[in-house]
Amino acid sequence: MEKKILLDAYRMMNRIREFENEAIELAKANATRAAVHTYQGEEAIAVGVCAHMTREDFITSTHRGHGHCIAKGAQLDRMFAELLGKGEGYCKGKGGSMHIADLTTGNLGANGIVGGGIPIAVGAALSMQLDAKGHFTVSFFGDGAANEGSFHEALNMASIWDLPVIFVCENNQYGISTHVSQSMHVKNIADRAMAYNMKGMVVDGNDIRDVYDAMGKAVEYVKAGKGPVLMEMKTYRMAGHYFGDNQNYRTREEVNSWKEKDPILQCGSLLLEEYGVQEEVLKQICKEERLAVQEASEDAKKMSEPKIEDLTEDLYDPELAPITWKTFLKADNGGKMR
Amino acid sequence: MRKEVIMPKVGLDMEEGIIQEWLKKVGDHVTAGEPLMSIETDKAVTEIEASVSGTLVEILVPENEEVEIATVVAYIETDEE
Ligand SMILES: Cc1ncc(C[n+]2csc(CCOP(=O)(O)OP(=O)(O)O)c2C)c(N)n1
Ligand SMILES: [Mg+2]
Repeated sequence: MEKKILLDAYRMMNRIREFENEAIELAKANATRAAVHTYQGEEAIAVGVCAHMTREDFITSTHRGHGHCIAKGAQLDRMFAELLGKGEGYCKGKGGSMHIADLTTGNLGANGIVGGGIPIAVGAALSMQLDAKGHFTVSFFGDGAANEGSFHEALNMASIWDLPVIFVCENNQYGISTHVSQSMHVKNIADRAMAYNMKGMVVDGNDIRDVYDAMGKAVEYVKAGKGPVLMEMKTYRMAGHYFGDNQNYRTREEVNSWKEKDPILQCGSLLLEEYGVQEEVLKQICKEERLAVQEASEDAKKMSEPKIEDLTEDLYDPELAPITWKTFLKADNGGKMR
Repeated sequence: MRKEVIMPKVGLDMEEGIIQEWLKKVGDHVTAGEPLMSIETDKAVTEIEASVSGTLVEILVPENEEVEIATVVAYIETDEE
């Protein structure tokens, strides 16, 4: 990984961490109203994956979506505005934390439905295959989502049609309070790729270099038209499921042992020890990102409340609302077996 | 910098909470992420971690007292400039 790319990743991971810390402060103060699911400890995944993407490449995200949204290039003030229900928010304050979408950066949206984004990504990838411009879609989802029917249906269809989609499973070992050992009987979620005759990869999701390199290979594979990839990122959610979770299903020792594997600390050590970056430079980056996040939060607080008259606006597309059905024919791949 | 510690809203329908226990005393140093207090709601007892590193300089709400969410319950003098 080039030094510049790694430094940028370090900055982006810090931006996400600071955003999440501030999101929790807003939730504590009852400024967000709805639940806030944060991403502390998983930052290397969104950052390492999105470092290989342009705005023309799409993502679908989850209830734990702030990190994906930021890594894809969203503006922090408009994100905070959405959390606070302000009119200038990405969804005019009507979506909140779990429903931020930003088409300008290729983010098809967070999703409150576990596993809900995975089939959407398959549809987006189909449109990209038909357009043939070499773009691809990434779907982020959790270990819990990998037990939803939508996951299996989506992988099956993506495989049949060799779609340019990368399924990124963030295995943080818990679905709320349920440990993966109680919810699945495979060692690696990536092993499930075999069932759909697609490429599976197991990646250390706390190691930015591992994520970046593995994603580079996955993108190459997908762009070569070889079909979808299932990447499993082994990671850990350092904070509660959402703010307010008392975490009585795991020990403080377990949480602390993973804090030692904090992806930001690991990235910092890498920069210091192998890339000869001075500690001052890293401190400066952290400080700049903290200040930028604070400023964005303060700016968002001053934004306007949405107007009551606009409550029902944007519910239906004025042009597309009368749905017209037309038959769709997908050229088949000749029953090709890989 | 003096930073407020508030009674956090930890549940979607929480309106007030009780400081069940202060896990630090006035004068103690806390590191961000370290448990600072445990609070009791009608649902559960939850440990709340400090959001900043610094010295706990003032406790405004004693143990076993119930306050509304977002009430300032203590102050931390932060380590940073
Ligand atoms: C279809 C559906 N079922 C249940 C829920 C409730 N729920 C919200 S988050 C969550 C856990 C998801 O776990 P995982 O996919 O591992 O993601 P993580 O929260 O660990 O990032 C559940 C069950 C939901 N939102 N949608
Ligand atoms: Mg999980």
